[in-house]
Amino acid sequence: MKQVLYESLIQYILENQDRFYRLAYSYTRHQEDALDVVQSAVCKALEAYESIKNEDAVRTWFYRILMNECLAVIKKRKRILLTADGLEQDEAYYEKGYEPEDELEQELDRLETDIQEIIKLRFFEELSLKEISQITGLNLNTVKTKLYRGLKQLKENIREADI
Amino acid sequence: MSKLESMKERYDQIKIPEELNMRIQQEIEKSRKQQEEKRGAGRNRRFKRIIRSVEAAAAAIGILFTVALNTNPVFAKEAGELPVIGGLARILTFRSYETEKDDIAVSVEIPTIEMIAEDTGVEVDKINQEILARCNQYADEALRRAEEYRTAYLETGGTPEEWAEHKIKITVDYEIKQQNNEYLSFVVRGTENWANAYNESRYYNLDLRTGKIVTLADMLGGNYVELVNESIRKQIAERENAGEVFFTAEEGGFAGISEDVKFYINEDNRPVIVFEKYEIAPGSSGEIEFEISPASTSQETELGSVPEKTESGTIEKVESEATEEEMQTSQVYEDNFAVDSKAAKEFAEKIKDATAQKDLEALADLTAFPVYVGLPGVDVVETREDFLKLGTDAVFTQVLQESVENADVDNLQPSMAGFSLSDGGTANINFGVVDGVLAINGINY
Repeated sequence: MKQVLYESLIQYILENQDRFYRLAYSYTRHQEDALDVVQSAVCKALEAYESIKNEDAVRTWFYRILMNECLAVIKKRKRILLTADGLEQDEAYYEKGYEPEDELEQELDRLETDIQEIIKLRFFEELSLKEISQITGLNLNTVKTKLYRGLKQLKENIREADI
Repeated sequence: MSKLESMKERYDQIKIPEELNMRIQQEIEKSRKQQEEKRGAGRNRRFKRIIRSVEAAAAAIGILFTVALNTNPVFAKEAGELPVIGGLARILTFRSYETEKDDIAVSVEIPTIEMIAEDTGVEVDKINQEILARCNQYADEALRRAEEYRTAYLETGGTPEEWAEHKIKITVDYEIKQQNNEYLSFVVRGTENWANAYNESRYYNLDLRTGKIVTLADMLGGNYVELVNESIRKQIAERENAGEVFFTAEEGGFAGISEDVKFYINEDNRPVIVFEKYEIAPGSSGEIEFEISPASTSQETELGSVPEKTESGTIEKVESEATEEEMQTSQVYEDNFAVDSKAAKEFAEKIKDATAQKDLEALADLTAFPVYVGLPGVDVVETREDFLKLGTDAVFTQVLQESVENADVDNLQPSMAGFSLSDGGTANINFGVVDGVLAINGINY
């Protein structure tokens, strides 16, 4: 049982590594950081695979680990920014290849982290609302409400920006 | 939502550094090594202990063993009540006990072979001692593992009550497979209901005419390996056709039998090869057995199996058609991209009808709440009641009605947000998969 689960987890990781990286990158906007995030998520998952209850839950289970790693990096970064002289900006992490010129990405980054997370999982990773609710631990209706609120906020902010 | 779409496009184009795969492979390799070390260490330890206790058992129990059977009046009485199996020998429960400590239940039944006929020259003492030693050892080790588990469970914050809920049970028992004047075949099993990894089963096949352990070569001849492999491959193919799942070669599926392959002898005096759970097929299949016919009859089955195969093939087909139909009626979608255009069109037409008739109730029936409604002063509408309160005229604006009426339902394309019903203007009704079914998820003006 455990052996089979272990192998199917490895297969899942190998098949979906690009998705993991994109999601990590959308948070960190930094190649090295994104690589670190994915690597340590993989490491943690392989160490803790015995705690997966059933094989069908591998996807949501892994995403939860990955999201936690992403948020950990963001938090750490915020702490560094605060302890530094405060002049450093998040924008310093933008790299070419992910054009920040589009205001939507910037607006997305400005949303509350949990709303950001829901929007990213829903539209980028195309996960179902139910899966998102399992990953975030929020109840399904809360996920829906936050998603719509987030989308509306985006819409308003961009409309303002257009003017 | 086109901006979101283009953002998704940019997201999908994020470049993947070559280093990614390398780093992941590195983690997997590291983890695999750790796994192997863990497993290797466990196996080694176990093996050594088995040798030690078999030696000890042989020394200590050797004499006691036969004496107990013959002199203990209670034991002899109990033994006498058991049915005699075959004329030459019988299997008795040598030792049977049940205990419970720390909410760990242990149930042990140790079998022993007793020769009924005298002067057969068949020596069973050695086998009996081995069985006894193995059973005792398994029970002891399982109990130790359960105690370790319990300690770890309680140390990490579990309460004794929660532990009791686990209903941990250790079972050692046996099952007689064949018993006649030729063969005695039985299996001794040790199981722990919380960890499959330690389950053990050992098969004993005894030829009562010679007193020897029966091998596959004894039963099938010198070229038994090819015979068995061929037969198993054929049976796997047949069973796969009938819908059973086996691991492929890459997944560690059947790759020929090894010397110590497990088997028992069935009622027809034929050998039956046994594979443990997970050995060649997913765990849901449990243990897998293959009856092997001796070489002379294998051709017969080959010829005989042809009509049978087509028959089961037709049944299979009918069944799969039925399930397909069933699936269509109760379709649950993974996401918007799983919705076929026919289903999308059908749903879109329901929205069109409701909109054309300005039927707010009907529209609400099609909607998943909370829903975004882009009217001034309205944001997310949480419930159906709130939605109906908005009023027919407020929801069905003329612009929205016209836009939906003119929307082309034959060319609906899914996006991350779902499907959009509009004539190209800003007013539209969006729908998509919500909790596995299609529902309206937003109305824009």
